[in-house]
Amino acid sequence: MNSFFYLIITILVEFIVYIIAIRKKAISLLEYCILINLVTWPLANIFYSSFGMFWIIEISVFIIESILIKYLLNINWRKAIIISFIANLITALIGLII
Amino acid sequence: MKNKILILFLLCLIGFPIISADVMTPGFHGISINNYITNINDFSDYVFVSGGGISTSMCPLQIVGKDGNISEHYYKFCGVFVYAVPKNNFNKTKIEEMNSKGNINGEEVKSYLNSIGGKEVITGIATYNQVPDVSPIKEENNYYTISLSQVKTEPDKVDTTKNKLIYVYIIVPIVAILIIAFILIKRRK
Repeated sequence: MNSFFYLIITILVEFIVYIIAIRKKAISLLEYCILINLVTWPLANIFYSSFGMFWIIEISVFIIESILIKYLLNINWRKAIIISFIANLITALIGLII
Repeated sequence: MKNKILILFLLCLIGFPIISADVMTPGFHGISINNYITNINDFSDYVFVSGGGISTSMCPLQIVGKDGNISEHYYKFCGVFVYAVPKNNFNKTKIEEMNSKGNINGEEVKSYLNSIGGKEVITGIATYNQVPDVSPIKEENNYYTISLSQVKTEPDKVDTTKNKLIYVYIIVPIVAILIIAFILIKRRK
C-alpha cells in the first residue's frame, strides 16, 4: 500500500480525536492536525525505516505532538498530553494491524 | 478428519517459514543490482560465464557480454559467480545443454567449468537487494576489476542511483515547523 495512504489515515484518525476532545472550529483543527502530522510523520518514517524501534519512535512522536498540540491549540498541558496519547495510541495500533 | 487437520497444520508450520523467507519485508522494497566487469577486454583469450548456486533452471549459465555487464536475470538467492574459461575450451552447446536440463546444481556447474580450465574470478555476486521504502537508493551498480589469480568477493566500486523522495521527507517537516513557528509568532503579536 502507498505510504501516503497511511499518512491520510493518520491525519483522519487524529483529526477525529481532536474534534471529540476540543470544541473548536473543525477547519482550523484539521489545518493544525495536518501541520502537526507533516512534522512528525515523515521524520518517524525515516527513523523507523533506518533504525526500527517502533515504540521508541512512537513515544517520541507522542512527546513532540503533545508540545505542538499544546501551543497550536492553545490548551493546557494535561489535555494536550491526553489528546496526543490517545491519538497516537490509536494510530500506532492501526499501524500494527495494517 | 482430525488427521487431515493435523497434517494440514504441520504443512503450514513447515510451509510458512519457507514462504516468508521469499516475501518482501513490510516497509521495504526491492532494488536491482547491476554488476559489471570493468576490464573484461584485457582478457581477450577468455570467455566469461556467470552461473549460480541453486540449479541451472533458476540460475542459468550465461555469457558475460563484451560490455562486461553480468546478467541480473537470476533468482535472488542464486549467489552468482563468474568464471573465466579459455576460449579454446569453451563449448557453448554444452552450456546450453546444462541450462536446458535445468536440474544441475552450482557445484556440478563449477566442477564442469574447472574441468575445462575455467578460473573463478568473482563469487557471491548479489543481483537483488531490499531497501526501506523511504530509502533514496533506486538502483545499485557494482564494478569489479578482475584478475585471473584472484577470486573477488566484493566489488571495487559501488555506485548508487538515488531518487528524490527522501528530500521530500526531510523538506516537508522543515516547512511545516516554519509554518507552525509563523502561526505562533503571529498569534503572540
